[in-house]
Amino acid sequence: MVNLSVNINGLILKNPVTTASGTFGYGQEFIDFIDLNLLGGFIVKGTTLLPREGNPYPRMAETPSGMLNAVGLQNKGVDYFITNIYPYIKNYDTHIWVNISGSTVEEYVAIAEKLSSLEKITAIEVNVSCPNVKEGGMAFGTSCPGIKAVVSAVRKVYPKTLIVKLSPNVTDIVEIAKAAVDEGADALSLINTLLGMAIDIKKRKPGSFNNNRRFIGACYKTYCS
Amino acid sequence: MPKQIVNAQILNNIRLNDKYFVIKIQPKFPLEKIYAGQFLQLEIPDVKDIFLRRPFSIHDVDFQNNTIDILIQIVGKGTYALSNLKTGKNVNIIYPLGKGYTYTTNSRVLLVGGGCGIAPLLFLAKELKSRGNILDIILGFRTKQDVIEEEYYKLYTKYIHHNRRR
Repeated sequence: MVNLSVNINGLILKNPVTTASGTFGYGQEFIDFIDLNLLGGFIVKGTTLLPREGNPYPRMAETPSGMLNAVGLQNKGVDYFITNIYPYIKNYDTHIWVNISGSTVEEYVAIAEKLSSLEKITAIEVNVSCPNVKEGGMAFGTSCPGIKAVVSAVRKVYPKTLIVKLSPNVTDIVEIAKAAVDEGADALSLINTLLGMAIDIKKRKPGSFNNNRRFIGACYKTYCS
Repeated sequence: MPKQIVNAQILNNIRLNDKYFVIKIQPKFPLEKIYAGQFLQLEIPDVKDIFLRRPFSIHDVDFQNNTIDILIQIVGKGTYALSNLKTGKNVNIIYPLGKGYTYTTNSRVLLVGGGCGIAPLLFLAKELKSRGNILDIILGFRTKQDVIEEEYYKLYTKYIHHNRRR
């Protein structure tokens, strides 16, 4: 038997296969298709302090090599997760991590505190691509001060594995990454989605929805390679 | 009911008029339990710039012959591509999705739908009729040319009411 286990700064996964936040719901949506116990871990969808409706429709558009989306972190909030979701997923024999998002440093801290007591949540993934409403909406993860503020505050209240999911929409991701690690991140996950736009060349205009749209798709490989 | 991702063969693809067509597909495995009002997500084959599956209501189900009918209105490149698929072609589907309708028994039920919105009502009519319900069905269309499948809905009710603008 081949040993596929991986060590993420002390957190041991039985294999390196995990599902990214936002692609796998709360895990249970896929139990008809895959045995969740086989995974090294799964990352629960972006969770905020309070429930969020997300952006108004349309918030998704198909492009030839992927899709644009601006869902806007629609979720029922961390309290709903703790009460209504966690009890049903905690018994899977795999790591369960929660992706957290906030509009202020205080919100990140509050979510981290609530999740820290859940035994089967072995890590949180901090989404720093959210706009900081106290700094005019600039994303936390696009500046060293922004990312330092979030990571250091969360680190103080969250003793388990702290993963920081970096934004690619920066000039120099290395300095952002170093800042996160300096403030206590145990691991980095790369990357959050790239900003994108689809242009109708016949109409000579962008597509029908254009608010903070993110692109995902096959041509990501070209970007990352 | 468990969901499946399966390949299904197109048994026929019938154009009803310039807007609508019905494809009959036969999944490779025995059908799961399906409730009227549920839908499937269909992957459109062989078209490079169509990335996302398309959701369609389940129009009718024949459990004996293991087939599903899908009523589709041509509205864009995905549905246009589907309208040209030939018999024998395989498509990949995820089904059954959604909660479906709640069935009543031995009641009088009014079904109302318009345009492609009539799609889930055929299977619903079948299921309700089999449960002793008496049905009235109202189908709405923009024009006389848009009226489709009336003869199939008439199998489950004495009265079909049309409502069309012209």
